[in-house]
Amino acid sequence: MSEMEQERRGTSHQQHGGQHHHHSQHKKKFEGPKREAIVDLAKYKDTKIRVKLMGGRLVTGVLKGYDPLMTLVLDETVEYLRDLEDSSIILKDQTRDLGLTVIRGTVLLSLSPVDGSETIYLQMED
Amino acid sequence: MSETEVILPLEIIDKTINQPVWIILQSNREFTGKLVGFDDFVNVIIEDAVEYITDNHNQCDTELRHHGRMLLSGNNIAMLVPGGRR
Amino acid sequence: MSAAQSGTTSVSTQFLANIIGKPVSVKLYSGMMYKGKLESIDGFMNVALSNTSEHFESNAHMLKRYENDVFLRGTQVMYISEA
Repeated sequence: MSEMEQERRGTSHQQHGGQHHHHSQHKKKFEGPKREAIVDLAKYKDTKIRVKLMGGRLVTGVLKGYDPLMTLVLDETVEYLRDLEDSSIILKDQTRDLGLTVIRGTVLLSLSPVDGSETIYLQMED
Repeated sequence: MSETEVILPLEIIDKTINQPVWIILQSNREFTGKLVGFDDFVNVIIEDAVEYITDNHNQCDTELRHHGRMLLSGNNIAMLVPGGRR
Repeated sequence: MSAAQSGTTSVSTQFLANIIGKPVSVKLYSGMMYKGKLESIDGFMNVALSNTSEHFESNAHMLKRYENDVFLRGTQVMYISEA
C-alpha cells in the first residue's frame, strides 16, 4: 500500500511544476503536502454505515473510528450472508453479528450511510 | 464528534494482542487463535490457529487445527474481530 | 513486507527468522498446502522448502512428494505455520 502511494507521489507532476531534473529533491518535496482522504469519515462517525468489501462481503455497523488508510472500526457489525450457489445474491434474512470489528482499508469497495437509503430485494419466483 | 474520540483501528488490534482474535479473509475462509502480533501491512501472527472454510458461513464448516504459531499474510485479510469467533 | 524495506525488525520478520530450519506448513490461496523443512524465506514471503509433501486443504491426503527443493512464490502464500 504505502509503496504504491510513494510511487504515485514520485511520478506525479501536478502539484509542483518545473525542477524535474533534480530528482531526489523533487521526491522530497512531495513529502510536504499530506495525502488527504477523498471523503471525510468524521461526518459518518457514530452513524450506521454500509460497507462493501472486495470479495463480495457486505457489512453494516456504527463507525467508531478510522485511520488515514481508511481502515475502519465498526461497532455492532452485521454481515449479510450470501447465497451458497451464487455468492452475488445477498440473502435478506441471513445475517450474523460480528460485534466490534476492524475492517482493512485495502479491501474497501464502497461506503455509504444506511439512513436515507433502501435496499431493493428481488422477489424470487419459483 | 471531537477528533480525540476517534478510535484508531490499529490501537484496537494492538489491545487484542495476547487475546483471542477472529480473522476473516476476503474469501470464505476464517481463522481464530491467540493474536501474537502484527506488522504495518497487517500480516498477522496467531498461535494455535483454527482454520475454517465456510461453505455457508454458519454451517458446513470444515475445521483445520494448527499447533504453534502461524504467519497469516495480510494480503487477503478483510476483517479482524477482537475476542474470537462467535 | 515492511520490515524488509524499512530495516526495522517487526514481529513478522522475527517469526520468519525463528522458524528457518523447522518443519512448516505453507498454504497457498489456491488451497494447495506444502509441508516440509523451511530452507529459506524472504520479506516477500517467497519460500523454499526441502523434503516437501503436497496436499490439498488438509493434511489428510498426500498428493505428491518432492525430493528436491520446492520454491513457492510469496504473492500466492496465504500462511506459513509451524507444523
